[in-house]
Parts: sequence; C-alpha cells; structure tokens
Amino acid sequence: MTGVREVGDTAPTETTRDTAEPTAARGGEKTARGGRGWLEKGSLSRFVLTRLLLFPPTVVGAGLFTFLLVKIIPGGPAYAKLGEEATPEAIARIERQLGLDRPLPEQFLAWLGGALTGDFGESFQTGTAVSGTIAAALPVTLELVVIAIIGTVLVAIPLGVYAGKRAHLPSGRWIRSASGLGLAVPDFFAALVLITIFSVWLNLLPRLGYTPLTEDPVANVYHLILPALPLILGGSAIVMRQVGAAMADAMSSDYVRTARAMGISERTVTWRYAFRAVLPTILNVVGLLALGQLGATLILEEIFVLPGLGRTLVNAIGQLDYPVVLGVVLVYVCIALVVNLIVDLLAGLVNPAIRRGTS
Amino acid sequence: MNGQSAGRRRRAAPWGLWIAVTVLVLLLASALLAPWIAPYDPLAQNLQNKVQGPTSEHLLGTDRFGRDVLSRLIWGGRNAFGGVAICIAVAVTLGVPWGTVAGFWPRYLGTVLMRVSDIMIAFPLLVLAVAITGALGSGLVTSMVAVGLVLAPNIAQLTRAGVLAVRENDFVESARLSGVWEPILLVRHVLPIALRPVVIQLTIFTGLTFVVQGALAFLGLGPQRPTPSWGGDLNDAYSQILAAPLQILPPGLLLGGVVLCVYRIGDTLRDRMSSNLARTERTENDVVVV
Repeated sequence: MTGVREVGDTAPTETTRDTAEPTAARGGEKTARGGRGWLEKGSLSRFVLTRLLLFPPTVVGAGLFTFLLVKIIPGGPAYAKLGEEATPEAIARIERQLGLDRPLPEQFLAWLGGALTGDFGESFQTGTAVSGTIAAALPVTLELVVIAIIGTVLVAIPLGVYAGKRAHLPSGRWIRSASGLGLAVPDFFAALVLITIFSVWLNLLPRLGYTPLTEDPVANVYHLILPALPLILGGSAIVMRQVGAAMADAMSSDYVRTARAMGISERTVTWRYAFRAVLPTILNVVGLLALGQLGATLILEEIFVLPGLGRTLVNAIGQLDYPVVLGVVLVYVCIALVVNLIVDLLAGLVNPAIRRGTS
Repeated sequence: MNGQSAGRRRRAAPWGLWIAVTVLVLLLASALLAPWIAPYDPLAQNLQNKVQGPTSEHLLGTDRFGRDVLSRLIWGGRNAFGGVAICIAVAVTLGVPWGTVAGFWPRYLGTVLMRVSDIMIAFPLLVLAVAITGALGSGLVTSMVAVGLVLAPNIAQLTRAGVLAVRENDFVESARLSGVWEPILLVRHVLPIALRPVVIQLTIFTGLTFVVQGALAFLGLGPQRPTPSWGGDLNDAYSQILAAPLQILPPGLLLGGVVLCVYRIGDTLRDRMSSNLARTERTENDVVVV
C-alpha cells in the first residue's frame, strides 16, 4: 500500500541532485573521464565510503526521532507502569528507578548505547528483556517480507516484460488496467477476500497459526502463503507498471531497432538488450517495495495473528509498554535503513551517473 | 504537434474520469447529508436481526449487532472524508513551508531540514503512523494528524525540488534584479510553478490516506467503537468471517472503490499537468519536471 508513495519519491531526490549541485556533478564528470583513482570524485570507492560513513549518523538521527516521539506520550512511563496505584511518591520512585529523572540527553544516550549493544531494557508488562521479545518477533516479519518479495519478483517481472513488449496492443493495456486495480485495493481488504476464498470456502490454506521455520519448514511456509499473497498481489501491481513502462521505452529505443535490423533473434533482443536496460529500474522499485512491504506486514500480522514485530508493536502501544515500543520502532527503522543502503549501493554500482551526483 | 497529441488524449480519457468524479461527488454528498438520507440510526442495535444479508428493509444487510450496514457506511463516510481532509491539511501546511524554506535557503538551514525529512521518510509509513498515533492517543483526529505528519516530509522534499528547479529560471533572476522583494518573489513567481508537482502528488497521497486511514481504523487506532468508520466496520465484519464472509464486501469494496476513483483522477491530472509543464519549461531551461 505504501508503494505508491515510494515510487513517487524517487523522482524528486534525483531532480534535487541534478539541480542543487550542477557544478559538483560536472566536476565529477571531468575527473571521471581522466581516469579515476582511489577515493577520487566519482570513483566507486569514494561513493561506497560516503554512503557507509553517512549510515551511522542516520541511525542515531532515527533513534533520536523515535526517542522523542515516545517521550511525548501523555502521562509518562511511570504512570503507565503503575496504572491505578499512581501516587506522586510512587511515580517519583519509579522514575528514579528507570533513570527518568536524569536530563533528556543523558537518557537518550543511555538508551541508544544500550540499544546498539542489544540491550533495549525490560518490558513494563512482563519484566522480560525487550531484546528477547524482538529476537522472537523479528524472524517472522523478515520471513514474511522475503516471501512477499520473492513472490512479487516471480510474478511481476515476466508480466511486466510481457506488457512492456505489447504496450500498444490490447493485451498490454489489459495488464496495465489490471495493475491499476491492484494498486487501489487496500492489502488488508485483499487479505480478507483471500481468507474467504482459500480458507473459508475452499479450505485449502490455514487462516491462523504459525510454526517457526526451525521447527518445521514445510508447515512454516504453509502458514505464511496466505499472509504473503496480498503483499504479492499489491506489490506486483506496482512492479509490473514500472517494469512495463521501462520495458516499453527500451523496446522502442534505437539500439533495439538496430539489433533487430541486424537480425538478432527477438528473444536475445528482449532479454540481453532491452531487459538489461530495465535492470536498474527493477532494482530501485523492488528495493522501495521492500520498505513498503515492511510497513504493510504490520496489519497483515494483526489479521493473521502472526507473532511478528507489527503485532508486538500494536500490543505494546495498547499497553503503553514504552521500552517495547521504542525497541521495535528502532528495529523497524534500522531494517529500512539497511535496505536503503543496499539499494543505494547497488544503484551506484550499476549507474555511474548516480555516483557522480553524490560525490 | 504537442497540442495535437494532448487533444487526442483529452478525447480518449473522459469516460473513466467522469465516472470517478461522479462517484466521489455522490459519496461526499451522501456523507454530508447523512442525517437526512441514512435510512436508520447507525448506532441503533437490533439483536433479533443481526448478520443479515441484503433485504428490502436493509439494502446492504445488518452487522453483528443488527445495525444497518448502509447507514453505517454513509455516516462512516463523514469520518472518512473529514479525516482525509485533516490529514492533507496537516501535510500541506507543514510540508510546503518546510520545503520552501529548504529550497530557498539551501545552504545550511535547507540541509538540516532535508536531513530531518530524510530520517522521517526512512521509517516505514504504517509503522510511523501507528507509533505517532500511539503517542497522541487513538481517535479520528489524532490518527489523521499522525498520517499528515508522516506525509509532510514527502511534500517538503517535492516542494524543495520544485523551488530549486524554478529558481534556476531566467525570469526569477530578472524579477530579482528588477528589485522584487524576496518573499513576494517566492510567493508570486516561484511557488505557483514549483507546486505543480506537489498538486499531482497530493491526489496520490489522498488515495493513500484513505487506505492508511482504513488500516489504522482496522487496527483500532482510528475512531473508537461504536462510531462508524469504514476500516472499523471492516474489522467488525472480519470477526464474523466464518459465519458470514460476505459481510466484508460492503465496507471493503467501498474503500477500494474510493481509492480507485482518486487514483484515476490523479492519473489524468498527471498526464495533463506534466504535458503542460513539459511544453512551457523544458524548452527554456533544462528543468527536470517531477
């Protein structure tokens, strides 16, 4: 469901780079022509290093944002922990215990320091370590996203290539219209429809339940098919449109016409020539989709009662369990930042223009 | 030649567009006129008639408390449209000044503002919306303000990109040289062009907001029961999925249909406005239009 936002997002950042730093870009190009040494402007090593160096401050920034967000919850953690029996003395005692009477920057650094070493504190509700809760929930969410992405790639890329090659024929247009429909259907509604069909009527797939991968891989995947299906359908709609449009562009390009004129077989032209030009687009849209799907798993975990991060977060918010909320949100954003970093690095690897723009 | 192709598009497009506009106008009107046109009280329970299919008395049937589904959807429309309006208002009033300032003073202030927006955009949308709603407390207004806050940095980045691109134009420089005061220059000459991509993106965000609003209400973070809301009613229907699976259809199809209509309008807007932009700007300066 978030895919639409992400796809729209890619354009402005690129525009920004082009217009904001025209001189830098041009300078980079010049050195690029004259051969690139280690860490020179526009070189791959410099690009990778800048990206890696920017990563830790971004994580700290995201941590700070999360921390401040939870700080504005009315009532405060001590009140949430005590509930009905909150007297001023009890609140003061608890706040001292939790270190909440210390200045904010000190609290933040203590929390972040702990979080980075895997110590997220203890849950208010259960008293167990938050890191344990996260360690149990994280694989569920990650697995769901991975299955969704693999499914999406398998469905959307062949369809997108097919639609792109037939962009001006009825079959291509039909695929495009169908994907427009797929964009509009909220994935939680799609999930309910799929439950009705495959679980209630046909009794083919289970609606509830989860078995860890380590316990029984077959049962595990069997339980995750239905939750992943809405993500695959929604994600395919997005990826198919992007791949189709890029493929249609590539197929009408001069080099494809030349290749055809030279008598190269249609299959080779499609996959060795046109499809290669579409690869950066695929990389970008699948990376952004992974981020969108990460958020979308939250509601699917609620529907299918999967013990992942999303369910943990929603429960923790309901119980005002601050340490859990903080920890889970931080883990979410760290996954997102890592995916971002990987997509950025891969994009720079396949497209030198991006490297120049940022150096 | 450009005019010709635009003309052809104008002839080809309207059907879907007019259906989309009509559906949205009718739904908005029914939401506004809810007290007069809803056949029943959306909160009135009738446990003798619960979980019924469509009948002549209850056109869309009744839910698990015997409440009239049609009446609840009409009243829920008030929350849906009102909520989306709140969200978009928050996103625009925060995002546009944010991006304008960042685009007009790009050096230091702009860098700081954009780093903040980068960090906010890094969060998965639904996770951040749920977390902010959790911080503000559940409810229609708080949840929609939360979504507005999540979308604001996106609007800010688009605005900044537009402002930066327009600033490069010769006409801005000549206006500045002729002594136009900077804020006037910004509001009168730069923003009207710079905000065009933002308007296109806003229609897409409107569709997205309907979805996220439904999701938050489904999760119980939106309007609290028994207030009618499309997402909340969908969750009510889900609890009956074994007994009466078709109960999910009225709220779900309504929500999906609204989103489809909004996206259809957004598509047309993008086609028209980007072709206009391309005609006017691309020739003078190599402005990259979003």
